[in-house]
Amino acid sequence: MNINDVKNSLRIIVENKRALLGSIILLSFILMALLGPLVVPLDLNPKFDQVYAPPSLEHPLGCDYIGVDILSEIIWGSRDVLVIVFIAGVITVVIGSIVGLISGYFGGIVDLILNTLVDIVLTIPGLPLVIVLAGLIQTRDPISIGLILSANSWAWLARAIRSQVLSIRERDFIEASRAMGIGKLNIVFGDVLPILMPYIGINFLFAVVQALYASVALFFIGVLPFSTVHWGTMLNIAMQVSGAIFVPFARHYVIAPIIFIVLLQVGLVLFSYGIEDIFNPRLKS
Amino acid sequence: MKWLYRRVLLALLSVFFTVVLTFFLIRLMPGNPMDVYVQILIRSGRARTREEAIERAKSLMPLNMNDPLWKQLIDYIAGLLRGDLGRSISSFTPVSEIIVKSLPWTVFVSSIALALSFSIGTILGLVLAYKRGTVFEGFSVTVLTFLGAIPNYIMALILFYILTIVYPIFPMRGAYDSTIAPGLSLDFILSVLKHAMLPIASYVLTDFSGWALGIRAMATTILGEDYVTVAKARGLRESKIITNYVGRNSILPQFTGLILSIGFMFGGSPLVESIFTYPGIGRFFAAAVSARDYPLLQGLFLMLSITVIVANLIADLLYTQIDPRVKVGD
Repeated sequence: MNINDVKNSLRIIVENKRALLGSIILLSFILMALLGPLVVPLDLNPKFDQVYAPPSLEHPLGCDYIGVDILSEIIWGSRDVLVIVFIAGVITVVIGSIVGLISGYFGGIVDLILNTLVDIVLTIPGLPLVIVLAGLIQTRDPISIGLILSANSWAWLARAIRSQVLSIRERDFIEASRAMGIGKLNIVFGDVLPILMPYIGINFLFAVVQALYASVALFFIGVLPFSTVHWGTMLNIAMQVSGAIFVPFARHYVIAPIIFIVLLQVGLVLFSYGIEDIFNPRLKS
Repeated sequence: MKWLYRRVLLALLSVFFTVVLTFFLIRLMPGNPMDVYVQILIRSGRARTREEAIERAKSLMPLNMNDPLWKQLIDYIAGLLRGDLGRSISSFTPVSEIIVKSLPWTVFVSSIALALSFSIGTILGLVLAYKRGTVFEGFSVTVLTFLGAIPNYIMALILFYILTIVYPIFPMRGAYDSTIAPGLSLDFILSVLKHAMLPIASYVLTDFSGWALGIRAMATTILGEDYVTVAKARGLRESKIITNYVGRNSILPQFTGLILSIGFMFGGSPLVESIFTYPGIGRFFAAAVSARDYPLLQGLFLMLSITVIVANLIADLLYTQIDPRVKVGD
């Protein structure tokens, strides 16, 4: 990508209103997760005179069921939310790409085995599998959680990449590399992979959207012990643990995590559509 | 024909793989399943002494935990073939009984939700393709994208919060009012509908946009095809072109999606059903996870996977029938 491509991409993002809105939302969340915890301290000690305190200058989003400032929980929680979906997205894309590339390029018995595996994994319902695995494995480690969340999402990508590789491998320059006696693995990762990078990038975003859906669900349903400030955990506490959902003056506590979850999800979806427009100009209507 | 055999073989292989997976998932859990049973029995007061707990736990397990693993797997599969999914440890009822009791509620809610979101989405999508380039289209697409981005369980939580707690218009939990005797009375039917309304709305509000955007994209592509241009040149009315030319052709991929969705329909959503305490498969699934009720979890998961596998198979077989252009070879 040279400087002109970057300029073009930025222009398309700015012109495409949905992509622009999506990237603004997404950037604000990333900034919040990176810088927020440096600015806003998190004090989890109960302050019983502040229980369900309404929004005020001191506590812009009010306080929760033990008097902890909700804004600071949201800000620290954004870090947990984003770290997990980022790791899950990376794992999904890495496994999916490797399996798809090898299956598509090597063909034969390797392809048959990998492709059958992909077909089988695709028939296992995703969210239930993730919930069962999380319930059984009980981990606090973000990488393990990322692995659980990728349990069957990689298979979609592997299938898509495989069909792309099947057409790329017949192109002339790949043929040339083969004739030069370059090893299969070198061709796959040196010649084929770079062509697929934009495609993999878009799918990374889709994987992140999926991971956000599943990870918030996991913490909301309360099967994983991870952090008390993850937005899904906050919802779990509001709904099941503290009973805040039934307390008329605790509305701000229920609404805050919902708004941030929806905003992040919408931002991600808008951004991924925008990026798809950039790399897939045919889709522009 | 060769393709058909391979496809069926793959489905059987998937079923076998899922059976083995659910069997080994239980082994993954920390500690011996038997100890977990014993603990739960003592803690919940269902057994007074440790010996009694061990005896009861043994009678609950369809397998002998001292056998070698391969023998346990064979016993487990033999049990499945007899329809024996073991007993739930939290309620002591056979897992198959729980499935038979809860499946109708899930299918009831999910089928209505699927039918509504599919028909609303398809009609809206065609209208949007017809009105392409208008302000109405741009506005609708933005709203649809927004709705589609909201997870269904968040929508359920929002509806639950606003319409049962803040404004108590709808009932909070259950599938019908427990003061009304189940039967074919008008009261009972109304009560069932009132209880199902919000779970259905949660699915429809978040799902119909996907169908609408899908068929809109498909229809927009087809509107650029030569035969549509020819039809326009022949002076056919636009409404006729939309229904007869574009509608028919763009609905094909929708049908594949519909059949796949039917497979997932049997599972319901663990989260949506839990939020409304709706007594379907998903709610029992969520409860089994938090209670660490492994036999129930195992049975439900197996049921879910098998319905999806069968639906996938049917979708593939039907697709070659519906769309004459697709000839699946090797």
